[in-house]
Amino acid sequence: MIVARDLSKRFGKVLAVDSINFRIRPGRVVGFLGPNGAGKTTTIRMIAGFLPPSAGTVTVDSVDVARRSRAARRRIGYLPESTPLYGEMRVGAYLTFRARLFGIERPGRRAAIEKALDRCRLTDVRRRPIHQLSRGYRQRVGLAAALLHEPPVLILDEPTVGLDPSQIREVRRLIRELAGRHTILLSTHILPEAERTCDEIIMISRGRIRAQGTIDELRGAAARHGRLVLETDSADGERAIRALPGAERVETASLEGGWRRLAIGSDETAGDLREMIAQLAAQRGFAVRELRREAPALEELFLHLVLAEDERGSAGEEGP
Amino acid sequence: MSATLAIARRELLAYMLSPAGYIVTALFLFFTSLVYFVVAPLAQMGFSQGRPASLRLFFQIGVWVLFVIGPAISMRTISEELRLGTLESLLTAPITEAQIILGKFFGSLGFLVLMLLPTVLFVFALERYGRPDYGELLCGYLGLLLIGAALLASGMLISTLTSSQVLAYIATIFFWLILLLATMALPFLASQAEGLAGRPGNSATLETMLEWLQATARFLAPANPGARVFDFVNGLVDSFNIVYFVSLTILFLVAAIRALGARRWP
Repeated sequence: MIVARDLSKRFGKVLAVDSINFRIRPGRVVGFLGPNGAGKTTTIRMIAGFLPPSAGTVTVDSVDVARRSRAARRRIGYLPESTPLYGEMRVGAYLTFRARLFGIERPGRRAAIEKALDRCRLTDVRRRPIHQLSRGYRQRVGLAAALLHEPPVLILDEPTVGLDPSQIREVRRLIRELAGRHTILLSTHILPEAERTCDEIIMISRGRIRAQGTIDELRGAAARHGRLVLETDSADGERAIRALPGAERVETASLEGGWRRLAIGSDETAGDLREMIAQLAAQRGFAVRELRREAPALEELFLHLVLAEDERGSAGEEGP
Repeated sequence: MSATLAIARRELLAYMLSPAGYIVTALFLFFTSLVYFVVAPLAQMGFSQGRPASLRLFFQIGVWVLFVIGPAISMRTISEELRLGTLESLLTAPITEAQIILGKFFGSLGFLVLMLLPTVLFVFALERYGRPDYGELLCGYLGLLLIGAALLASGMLISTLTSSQVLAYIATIFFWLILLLATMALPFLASQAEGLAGRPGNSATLETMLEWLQATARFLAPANPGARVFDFVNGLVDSFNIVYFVSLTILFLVAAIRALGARRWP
């Protein structure tokens, strides 16, 4: 539904988005996940037709966003970051205005507005001026405006930022309800948010895609970056374990009775680290009291990817 | 067409829902009627006994008040959208930049018409005490509308360049001040310097400079917006004046469309 090919955006000397590629299939809810300043909003703005790409192409429903901009915009419902609205207008009047912009003409206009009000549970505030509404309601007004013309694609930039927990739950529920009818691309910098609302996640940092796939695929990838926890009382054993291939970022904590707990960030491309440690303990004859794999969270993978990139970035080049 | 109309209606509604719209209208009506009905009659001018039943003085004041108030109407058109971020949802709707600019232009022009509407009461006052010349009255209103349109279009062009309404206001005022000065001061200077040319002992450089001065003055003098609009005020419909204001307005609108497009496609 949305296909980006070598999409780049350069602002002066800063390369905000660095030739990214992705393909979003119809009917999926896809999350753009990344820290602030990763290039999420810039990418979204290029898809929505607000910013022209410096290089590469995006197509929405096979329509090139740069070359046939208006046709592409007609297929997209876009909710910009921080939900800009005209505060002095009433909810109903604002939706009527947006409907006219999208060329929804008289016979069907009222029905389209009623439907959007109903889907976003706004019927009881339709006569209220927008500036009187809470953030949660404003967010829903923006959402209603975005789906008035029944676009095949919905693009939501940080739809839950600045909302309280119950409002977040409400918006999240709304997005899940919309999921069947629209292909949804949303951005967020909060991982649990993406895990809960999205089918697929595209992790982005410093303008590049670091990982993408379904939640399960990413959890699988995260497992390879999981952690092992073990306890031993042998300094010799600890040294041997640290020397194993694939044992990274070893953190230690002293326990009573001379025991030490080791937390190992494992990169298990070389093989299962647990087997290697068991073998080692048997050969050298040191005691291991506990050996378990900590349930690997996506958070780990996310942090690993983002942090690793940050370290590489700060070593190689000057920061922005 | 429908989108242009929708934007024009929203724009007009925004003026009517904001206190600024009422303040601008009140200022315009207050100053023009104060001078026309209170101050000028003290000097046997304007609305006073024995004077012709004419709104000429009102139109003269109105033009100068418009120079101050027109930019205040146009300053918010795009600047406000930039500040609120609503321009992003406007530019990502399936409409053209021309539709946005034209919609906003006609919306603000509509507000100008609403602002002038109460002054029809002045015409009733004239009708009560005398026999006004309706040709002259219509001509005066046409003049106000034409210079108003040019002012609004120029102000909108400038407001596409900044998210600060204050800056847009000041820059628009400045633009017209410079236009007025250039088209009035240079021809005045040229007329003062007329006797200097061709005198014995003038260096070649001085002669060339004087020639240039005369040429620029001849070119600029007709572009004086004040002179153009006062023909209307005096009841003179000159097609040159109409072409002048209409083409100025179109020029600003086209430039505004391009400026808005440049934001999207830098």
